Amino acid sequence: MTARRSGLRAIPLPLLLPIVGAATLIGVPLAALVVRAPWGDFASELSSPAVLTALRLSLVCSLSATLVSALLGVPLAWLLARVEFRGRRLLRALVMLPMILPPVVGGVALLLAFGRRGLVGLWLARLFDLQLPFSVAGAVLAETFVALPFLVMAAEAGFRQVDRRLEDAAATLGATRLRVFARITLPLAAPALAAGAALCWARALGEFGATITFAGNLPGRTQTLPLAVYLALETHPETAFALSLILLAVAIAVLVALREQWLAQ
Amino acid sequence: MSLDAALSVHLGRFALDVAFRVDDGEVLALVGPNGAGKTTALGALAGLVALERGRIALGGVVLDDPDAGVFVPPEARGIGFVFQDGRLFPHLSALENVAFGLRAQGLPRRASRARARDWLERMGIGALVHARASTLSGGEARKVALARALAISPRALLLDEPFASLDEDAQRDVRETLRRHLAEFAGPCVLVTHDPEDTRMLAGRALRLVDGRCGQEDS
Repeated sequence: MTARRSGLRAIPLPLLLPIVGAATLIGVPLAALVVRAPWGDFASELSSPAVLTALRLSLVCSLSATLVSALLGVPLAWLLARVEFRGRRLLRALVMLPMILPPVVGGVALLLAFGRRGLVGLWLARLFDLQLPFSVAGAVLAETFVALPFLVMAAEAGFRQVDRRLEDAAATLGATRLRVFARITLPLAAPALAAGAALCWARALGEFGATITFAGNLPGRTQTLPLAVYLALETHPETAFALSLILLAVAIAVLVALREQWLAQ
Repeated sequence: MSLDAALSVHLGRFALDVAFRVDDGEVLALVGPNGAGKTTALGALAGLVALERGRIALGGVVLDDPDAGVFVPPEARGIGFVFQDGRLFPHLSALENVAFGLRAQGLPRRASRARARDWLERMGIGALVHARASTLSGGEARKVALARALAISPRALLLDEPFASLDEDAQRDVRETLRRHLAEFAGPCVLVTHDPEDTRMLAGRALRLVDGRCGQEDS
């Protein structure tokens, strides 16, 4: 009988190198960001009006995108989890596509749909005098496009975990389907929905490609934090470092908040 | 009022094919081995499983008749169902569980809660109104489930092994509670059970199911 080697000693040597490589690849740049951050005058780097404007705009846009995603995505996730219909897999694939699609392609697609001469944009402009590109609403739309799948994915998994037999029990007590959804299914899926909203918000906050392509880079209207970072890197690198650190901290905070949901092992 | 049922359902290779009638105030016990179709029969009566053929009528009102294209969904049947595992809503208190059906019927919040509290007191568990469903013992959970099913003033009552997996004391306690309430219940009642003792104490008649079909009937 041989004792089973446990812990790190169980790793075969040839596997050790790529493992260290992977950890280094991700760890070192993040560490560099922390090391090189302008810790001394952090406050002054962030107190310029341009930075504050980008910060505020980013909060407004990312929270709005999360709200829109929740309103549109939660019913969709319920549909995918609970209703059998032809084309369900196709619909799910379509909704998940923006997770894999290059964001810049998403931005181009949004332009062709909602741009001034886009399929829908043309009519929005003619009928309602509404122009989405280069507006705050446009930035929200771009962020929603990219972040919605994260919420739908988490919410669908959450709805699937709810015991259908509880929904049956509620029906025998006279509850309509809407009531069953609102009082039983939704509260029981709430932790998963919250996790999905947090992921969605983090993705919206970091959105760059689709936003700059579709909404442009107008300070105060569509210049969100990531865009401000990219721009500041040329002129005020210290500011870019400080802003990057903030976005890193937010990402870590979301990860910590989700550890129960996603990192249980 | 009576419950008239001719149930025909296929689930995979299993086929249920039974017919029975339960009169007002009568308790019919469905007995038989596991997999005989007892729970499926209750599901069909409640509207959780749709019939393929046959007919269900309660007090002359047709609830399910595929040939006539009639299917009344579970939420509109007014049939109380006590599930095998209690199946309480884990995120709600005992009181909220019992009030759930009353709220669904449109009773205002305060009135629902007052009536739910009454029901819990009649079950002898008035002290547990604010306990979370997930913290209740097996016996307590069954009583809450019974209160929840009776609170909606059901026109018929379905009980799926209401004492299964309880210890002996809790079993005796819940059975006695149920016996008292069944004596007051005016509608037809169907009780699924394994235990001959349940049949003897609670039911007027027993129908034996074997492989989805009626075996002998004893009274």
